Amino acid sequence: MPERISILIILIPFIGALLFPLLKHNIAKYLSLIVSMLILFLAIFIFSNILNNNPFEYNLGGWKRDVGVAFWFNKFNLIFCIVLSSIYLLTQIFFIPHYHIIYGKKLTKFLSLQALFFMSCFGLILTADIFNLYVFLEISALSSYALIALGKGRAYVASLRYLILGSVGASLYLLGVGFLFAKFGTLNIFELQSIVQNQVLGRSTFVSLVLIILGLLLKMGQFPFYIWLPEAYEHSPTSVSTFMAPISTKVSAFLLFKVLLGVFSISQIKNLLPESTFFVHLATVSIFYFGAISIRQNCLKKMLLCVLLAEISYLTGSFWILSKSSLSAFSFHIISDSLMIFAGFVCIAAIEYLNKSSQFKDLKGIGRKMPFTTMCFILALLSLIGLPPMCGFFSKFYIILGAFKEQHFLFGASLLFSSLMLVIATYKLIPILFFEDYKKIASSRDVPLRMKFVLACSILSLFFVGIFSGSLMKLIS
Amino acid sequence: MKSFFKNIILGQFNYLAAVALILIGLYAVTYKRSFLKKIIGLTIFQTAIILFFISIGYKVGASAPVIPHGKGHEFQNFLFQNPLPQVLMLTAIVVGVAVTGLALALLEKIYDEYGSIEENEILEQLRKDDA
Amino acid sequence: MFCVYYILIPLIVFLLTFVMLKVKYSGAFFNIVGSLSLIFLLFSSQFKLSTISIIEFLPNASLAFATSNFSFIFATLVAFLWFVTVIYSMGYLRTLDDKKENKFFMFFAISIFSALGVAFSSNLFTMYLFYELLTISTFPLVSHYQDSQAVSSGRKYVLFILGSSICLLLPALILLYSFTGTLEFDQAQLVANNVPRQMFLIIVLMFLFGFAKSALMPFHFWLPGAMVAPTPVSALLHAVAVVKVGVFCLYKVFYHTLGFENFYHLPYFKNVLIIISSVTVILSSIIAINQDGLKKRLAYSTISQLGYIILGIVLFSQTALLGASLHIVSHAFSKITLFFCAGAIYVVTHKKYISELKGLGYKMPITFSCFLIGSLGIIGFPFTGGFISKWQLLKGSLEAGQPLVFCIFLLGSFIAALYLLPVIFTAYQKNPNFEEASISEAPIYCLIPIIITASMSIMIFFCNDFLIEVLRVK
Repeated sequence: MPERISILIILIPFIGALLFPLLKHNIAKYLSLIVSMLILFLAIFIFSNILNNNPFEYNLGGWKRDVGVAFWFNKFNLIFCIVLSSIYLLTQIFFIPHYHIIYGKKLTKFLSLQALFFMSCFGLILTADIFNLYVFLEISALSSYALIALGKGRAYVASLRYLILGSVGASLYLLGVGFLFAKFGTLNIFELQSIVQNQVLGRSTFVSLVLIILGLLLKMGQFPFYIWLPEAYEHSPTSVSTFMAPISTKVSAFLLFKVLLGVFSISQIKNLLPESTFFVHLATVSIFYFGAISIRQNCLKKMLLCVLLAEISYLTGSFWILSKSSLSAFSFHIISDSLMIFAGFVCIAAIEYLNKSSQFKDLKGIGRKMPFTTMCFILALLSLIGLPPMCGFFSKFYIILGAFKEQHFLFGASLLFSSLMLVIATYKLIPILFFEDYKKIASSRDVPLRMKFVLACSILSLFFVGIFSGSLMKLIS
Repeated sequence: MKSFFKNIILGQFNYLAAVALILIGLYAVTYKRSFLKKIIGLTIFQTAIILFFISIGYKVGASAPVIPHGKGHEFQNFLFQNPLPQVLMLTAIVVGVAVTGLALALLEKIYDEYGSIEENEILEQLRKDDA
Repeated sequence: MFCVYYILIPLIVFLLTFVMLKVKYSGAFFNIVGSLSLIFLLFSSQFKLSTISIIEFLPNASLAFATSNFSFIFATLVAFLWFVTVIYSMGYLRTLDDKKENKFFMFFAISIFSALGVAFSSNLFTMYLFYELLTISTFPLVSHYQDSQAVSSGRKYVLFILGSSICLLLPALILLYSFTGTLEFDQAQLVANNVPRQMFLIIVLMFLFGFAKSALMPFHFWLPGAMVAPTPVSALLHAVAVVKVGVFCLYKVFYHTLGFENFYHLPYFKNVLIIISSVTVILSSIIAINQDGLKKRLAYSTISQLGYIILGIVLFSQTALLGASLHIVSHAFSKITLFFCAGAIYVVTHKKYISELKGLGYKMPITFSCFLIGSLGIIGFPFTGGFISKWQLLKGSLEAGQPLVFCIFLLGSFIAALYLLPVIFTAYQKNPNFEEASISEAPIYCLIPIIITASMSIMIFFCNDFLIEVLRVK
């Protein structure tokens, strides 16, 4: 039974995306809320099913694997889907009452684009066909470009830049897929794996691997291809960056894992790319760089984006260490980091709701007027720094453990350096938030209750994932 | 010399052509100042990749992968090109069209906002806004 | 099972105070009730040993608590002084007309919670968790006054402590875990088997400096800066809870985790450690002589006495270890007496500098006699608790074959006399300004705790058999 309805995870938002522009604004808003709830329940249902049984494969249209598209449902994919759908749900709860203020007439189009974005992310996680992956990649990219461009003004330029770079990246990926297809004749990941297992891999496979990696790195926002990221997420509307920033980069990182390790085995990659430690060094350099500039930011959003860029480099570095423990750390970090960045962005959204700006100079004394929101933001920052018992500590612990076991001491040190830089940045923030007097808004109201609920959920999830990280790791590895 | 010419250049002409177009497209994306030219370069880049894919599926003396029906054509010739890359490339072409359309719409909005589509002029204005 | 109850009490106090933040005097009330119940529970436990493991985070690293003799002593110390400090704070804050009293007590409770969590932790992971929690929970106390001085000293506090724990302590933990596969305390055997020699040296140094709460030079800069906090904070936290947690962690790590046997064949390295600690002892005492601010002088004195404890640990002998643990107890009482007196002086006269204290002794006799008793405790004069601990430390240094350390201990005591006794002398000089001024003795809420802790530091001398029996290591 769960096998048959599993495709609904992708179909429901798709149908929603088609329906929303046809409906009236109010109905569309609440329908999107219902859509997100449905997806969450579905994901949890299938996940609980998988815990007892084996992972399964869904063949689209009943076509067998070698001629059709297949979707693969296993534990990690579903955990990631649960995280994504809860982000969807929480974003909707947070923003629904004032979407119409932000978007006016474009509301239904926004909802439709948002649903398309989420559908494509679910598709990216679940698909087992590399060309289908390209299609979903482009759908998510297109919806991102449009969503970012809703910010008006500078967002158009940022979106165009993102468009150009993103399309180049996706096309590189396509070229790599083309090489693989030319060489092996199939597009399904499992088929490719069985073919590749016994072969000696030559130059064309090397080229395809390089192209795929380059394309995905560009999509992920890894240094030095990250230039589109800060502008795009800074100028997009807050309601867009709240759900897009945590998700899109992590999904692309997950794709790196899926495509590379789904088809090839670790030793094959090490043979094909003997210089794979180059990526670890690249990641180390970028973590040092982003750690250093995160102190000099004077806007909350920019600071969080620097942290996001550094976290992406954590993912790259721990992936390219290519050992079992570092790969489990990689998977854990994908989940915990999406939650942490989401919590951070939700807090910023709440602060901007009342304060209309997140520049440091406009934040004086907010801690006294909005204590709950500010405490949530500080907790999110503490989790990013890596304070136990929140999930950030565990993800850092596992990554550094994986790095030290393979003698990559500098990479581990760079992680600690970025934590230290974040401590300094947080410390710069605290006197401004708490020790000054608030001058702007006279009333002492805090954000509405539903926002507090969302904030509380996101922070509690950080604790939750942290506390149960042991069992989570057992599931993942 | 002649074998070199024959084997490498003529024998793999499709790959060379695709690579040449890719490089032209990338050059346009990187070095041209006008956003419109960048978008054109992007289209060239994507088209080159599509070309590469389709050229993989070609067999010497094969016909288009369409099963003929109707009077006068019998189902005799079994030599078809590989249909799979052509189908995949249909999807890719559609994606490319969508991307180009979106890019052009964005470009129009940028023109409304900043009055120019040259990258350096837009950057000037942005810098002035920042200061 | 019971150790969780001990730890939960301050947490419950914190939650209750948080809920009733607006109710006047609620913080003080809950804290007093909580501390009394904790003392009662601890005394009625009769030091039964128990362990409990709650959640497993990693293989061989779970959230687990265990009681041991030393933990009990430490926890009793913290609980007793919690009670005393709450009464003192009531007097201090009320007299200074502080508006944010309840917030103060709230963070107080959670700092005690973290300290108890460290005391009762049964593996390195839990210890690290509560160590970090302690940093975060004491930060609002340090920057209580929220002025520019609080900002800069808070910055030093956070930077040194969090920075060293993230950059030194965490990698040390991870390295240890990657080699031995476990984060339990008693892994000396595993360490001997699995950790290569160079790694061992690096891990030891990282642990030593990673616990910056123990104020080993050069990571001591946060301590004098933290004196801008209200005196009850300085008293409890920086004479008792925070710094003692630091040396407690060092004790556990060096004795249980790294193990004395592993240092047996590293004589040069042992000497390096001894030199580092001795430098702390002597250098901070010398700096203390120069300080004019009373609390600053006491802060450097604390650094020096903590150096004593660390020196006792790195001597790697049973007696020295016993001396170190005894010194934790006796120094706590003596130093808290001194800080209480400093605070009482500030409350009554608003004077912070020693040179301004001329002639005050005649007006505040009780305060200054307790100051004298506390100073004698620090110096190690007979009939105070300090004498017992110094005696064991001296014995330990001879047992470990380090006569130089013996001299350093004595030198340290001598210099302590040089910087503590002049305060008394200054106070009892004649000063015409003060003769007519209407300065009375300290308020009663402040005075009683001072008398209690001063008498406790004398009582330790007479109870030393019991303490030695309990703290002796096999």
